[in-house]
Amino acid sequence: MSQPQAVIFDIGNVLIGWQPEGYYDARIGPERRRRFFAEVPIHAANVRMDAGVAFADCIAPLADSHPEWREEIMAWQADLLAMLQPVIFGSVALMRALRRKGIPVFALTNWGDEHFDIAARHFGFFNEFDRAFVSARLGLIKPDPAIYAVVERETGLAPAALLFVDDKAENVTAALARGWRAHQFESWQGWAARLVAEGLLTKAEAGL
Amino acid sequence: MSNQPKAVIFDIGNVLTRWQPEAFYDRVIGEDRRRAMFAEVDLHGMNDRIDEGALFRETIYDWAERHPHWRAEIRMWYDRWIELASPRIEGSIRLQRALRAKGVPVFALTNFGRYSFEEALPRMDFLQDFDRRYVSGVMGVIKPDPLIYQMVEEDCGLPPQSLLFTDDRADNITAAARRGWRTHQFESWQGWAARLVAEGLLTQKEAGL
Repeated sequence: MSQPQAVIFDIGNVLIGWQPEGYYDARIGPERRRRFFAEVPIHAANVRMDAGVAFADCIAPLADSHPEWREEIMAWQADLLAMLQPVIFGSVALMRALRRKGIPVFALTNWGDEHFDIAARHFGFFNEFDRAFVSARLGLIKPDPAIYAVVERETGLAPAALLFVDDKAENVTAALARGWRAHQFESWQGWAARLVAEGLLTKAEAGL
Repeated sequence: MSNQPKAVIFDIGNVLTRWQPEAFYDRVIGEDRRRAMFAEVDLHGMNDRIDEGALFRETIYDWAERHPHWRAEIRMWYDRWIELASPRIEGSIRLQRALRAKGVPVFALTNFGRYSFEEALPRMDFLQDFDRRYVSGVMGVIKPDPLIYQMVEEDCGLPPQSLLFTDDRADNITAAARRGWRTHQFESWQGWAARLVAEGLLTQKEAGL
């Protein structure tokens, strides 16, 4: 077999920016932001949310234990859309170009259940996947090999037929260890070149 | 991880040192004239011949004689070659050295002329810091021909899935992945560093992250 049978996108920092630090820098300044993240284990709580715990049970309780940061903590959900930027239009265009050619496009993302719904109401491309594998809904997060196994089982495709893109090296390594093809995302142009080299898109279709 | 890569293989151009002939000529003769020259003269075809094993200076000077209007500019490809292949990408060179310091074998797999490589060796110290060097001009075959990857496998005796290869060109990466190699499409030394950490070969600190 030469060409991949399906392409699988990570979402955060591949299709849309996700840099909470930048959001807080703009609002409370880099110095207070550093203090906030040092004092409040919100990234750890977010991992639990990605694994399926509700916002009310993992992040909201931090506002009670750290009342001086209540506003910043509650912004994690209330102002989610402001943390999700910018849309990486080059990548969205690649996703659409693949689907126009009849190539199935899946999402495989570490993302909270409620947060996924919020984002999907505002960003059309969230609704364009042939299927979205969302960690919180599976109760598994990347790079756990079990979540990759779910994708293989549900799609019925051989590992070598899957081409996966993710910005995190550990998620790429875990995919390769299962026999998937994988690309570590740095820019949409690099990803576009890979899709051309795999024979899935022409240079013109890939925007190169 | 028990299934760590057994060797790491570096492409050279645009991974360990920049290789952007167009940018060199933009600086020296201006972008408009550079575009005109590259449109009239197949300089990349000339370079491919060198990478496949043709003589270095002779091939370039012959090409210059066939395009006398661009003679001086084409000769620069040889006369000022070191500038075409500059600057060094220090972050990547540090990774190459950090791997070798830990006893991880590091190989080069490069589309590079046999004779241009010989001339470059004393001028680019990092070319000497490889456990093995696979140079297209010596092998007579260039990436992404599957044969060159097969020759590497046969020479080093390591199974494909134990090789971790980085290259900036997607076609070279795809060809390696088809043979079962682990691959990383290089865009920045930081991305490559993160990958080496994720593979368990370096710590974040060793990788300069």
